[in-house]
Amino acid sequence: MRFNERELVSLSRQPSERAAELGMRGPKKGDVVKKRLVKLVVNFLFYFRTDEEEPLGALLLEECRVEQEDDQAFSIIFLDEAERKYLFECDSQQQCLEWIECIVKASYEFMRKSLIFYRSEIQRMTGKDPLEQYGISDEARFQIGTIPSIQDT
Amino acid sequence: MRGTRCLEQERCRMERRELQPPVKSGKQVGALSFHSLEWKNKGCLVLGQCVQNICKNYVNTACGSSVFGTFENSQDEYVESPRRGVMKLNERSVAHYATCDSPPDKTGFLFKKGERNTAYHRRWFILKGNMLFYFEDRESREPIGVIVLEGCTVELCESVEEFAFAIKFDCAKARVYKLAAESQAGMESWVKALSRASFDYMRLVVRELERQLEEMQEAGGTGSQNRSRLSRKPSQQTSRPKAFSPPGTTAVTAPWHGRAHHEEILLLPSSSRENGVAWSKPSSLPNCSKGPASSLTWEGNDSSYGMGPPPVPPRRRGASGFSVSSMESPVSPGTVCFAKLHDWYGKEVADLRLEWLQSQ
Repeated sequence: MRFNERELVSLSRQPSERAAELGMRGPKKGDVVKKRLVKLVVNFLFYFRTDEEEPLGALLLEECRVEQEDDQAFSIIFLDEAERKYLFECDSQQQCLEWIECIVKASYEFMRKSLIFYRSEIQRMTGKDPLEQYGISDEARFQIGTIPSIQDT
Repeated sequence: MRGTRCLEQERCRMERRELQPPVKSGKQVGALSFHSLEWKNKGCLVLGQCVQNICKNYVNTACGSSVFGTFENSQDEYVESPRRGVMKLNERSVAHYATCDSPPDKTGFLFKKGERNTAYHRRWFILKGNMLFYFEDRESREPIGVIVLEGCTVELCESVEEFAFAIKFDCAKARVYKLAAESQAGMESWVKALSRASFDYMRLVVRELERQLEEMQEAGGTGSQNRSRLSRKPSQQTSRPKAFSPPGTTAVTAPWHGRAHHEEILLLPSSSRENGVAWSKPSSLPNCSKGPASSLTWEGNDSSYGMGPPPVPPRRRGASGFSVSSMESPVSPGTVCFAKLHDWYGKEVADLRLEWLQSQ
C-alpha cells in the first residue's frame, strides 16, 4: 500500500506530545528489544534509532489496544492481528502509565468519541448544540448518531 | 546479475534499502540474511549468487555507506546509501482502519492524477480521521494507497480537468496530490471535508467543548448565566483579520502572521466563510511536553515550529477576562497539551467520561 512517506517523515519532526528513549520489540518472532527513541505525534507513534533524524518507522494508533505487560512495560496490539504485539519497556512504572494514557488518548477515534460525548452532554444540559454557532453541526465526523447509545434528545 | 527480478518474491524477506549504483571496492561482510533485496525503484536483486553475503551489521566503508555485497561474476559491489531509505509503517493495520466497522467521514469517487503519468484515474476514496484512502474501485478490499492528511492544505486549482483541487504539503519536495470531483458540489464537499480532517482540528474542537463543559460544571450546570453565555452568538465577525487579532497585543499577532488564512477552518460561523477559495489547515501545533521527569529526550515548545496557540473562537473575546491570545485561562497550564488540560480542569468530567466510555 502506498503512502506519502516524505510527509510522514516531516510529521515525525513536528513537536510531539511525548518522546522518550524506550526499549522496543517488534511483533515478529525473533524480534528482540532494542533501544529506540519513541515519539508520539498526533495519532502516530514514530520510532527512531537514537540520534538519527529519520524515523525507522511509524505506527498509526487507530484500531489498537494498549496493555500493561508488567510493572514497567506496555504493549500495543492492533485489533486486526491480535497475536502481534509491539512491546515497550520503560524506565519506571510512572513512565509506563503515562505512556499508556497518552497512547490511548492519541487516537483520532478516541477524540471523536470524546467530542461526541461532550457535545451530547452540553446539549443535554443546555438544550443547545454547542457546534451550531461554529457552523459545523452537520459535519459527518461530529455526528452524535455515530455512537448508538448516545441519542439526540 | 544486477537488477534481476526476484523469482521467489513470495517467500523472500524483502527488506527495502536504498542502494547506490555499484562502487569498486571490496569488503567482506557477514552471513546471508535475505534471499533478495528490493533495490528501490529498480526491482529486486537476486542474491543467490552473491559471494560476499549480507548481514544486518553492516560494515562501513570510508565514504560512510554500508556494503551489501559483491557478485561472483563482477567487480561490482552494492552499497547502501547513508540515508536508510524507506520508512516502515504498520500498513496492514492501517489498511484495516480503512475498512473496519467505524463509519468513514466521507466516501466517493474522485479522479486522481497519477504519480508519473499525467492521466487521471477514477478511484474510490474513503476519508477516515486524518487518513485518505484510495481504492481501485468500490468493491476492492484493500486500498491501493493512503494519504496522511496531517499538515496539508487543500486548494482549488487551475486545471484542464473540471472540479479539480489539490492536497498540498509544506515539507521539502512534497508531492502535490491532484484530484478532481465529478461535480461542483462534490468538489466543494470534498474540499471542506479534507480541510477539516486533521487531528489538530479535531483536537481543537474537543478542547473547546471540554472547556465549555468545565465552565458549565463550575458554574453549576444549567444556571441562566450559562445559558446566556452559550447562546450568545458572535456578532462582530465582519472583517477577518480583526476576529483573531486582539488590539494592542502585538506579542499575540506575531505568531499568527503567516497563518491568517488558517482561521477559516476553525470554529467559525459558516455563513461568513463559504466564499473562501482556499480552506487551509494549520501545520502541527506545538505541543507542550508532559512531565519531563521520566523522559530522556524532550521536545517542548519548539519555536521553530512555533505558531502560537490557535486563535480564540469569537465568543470568548474579552468577555471573560481570559487571555484572548489563546484558549487558555490565566492560571491554567498550556492548553495545547490535551492531557494536561484535561487533568487541570478536573476529575469530574474525566469520571463522567470514563463511565460513559466503559458503558460502550
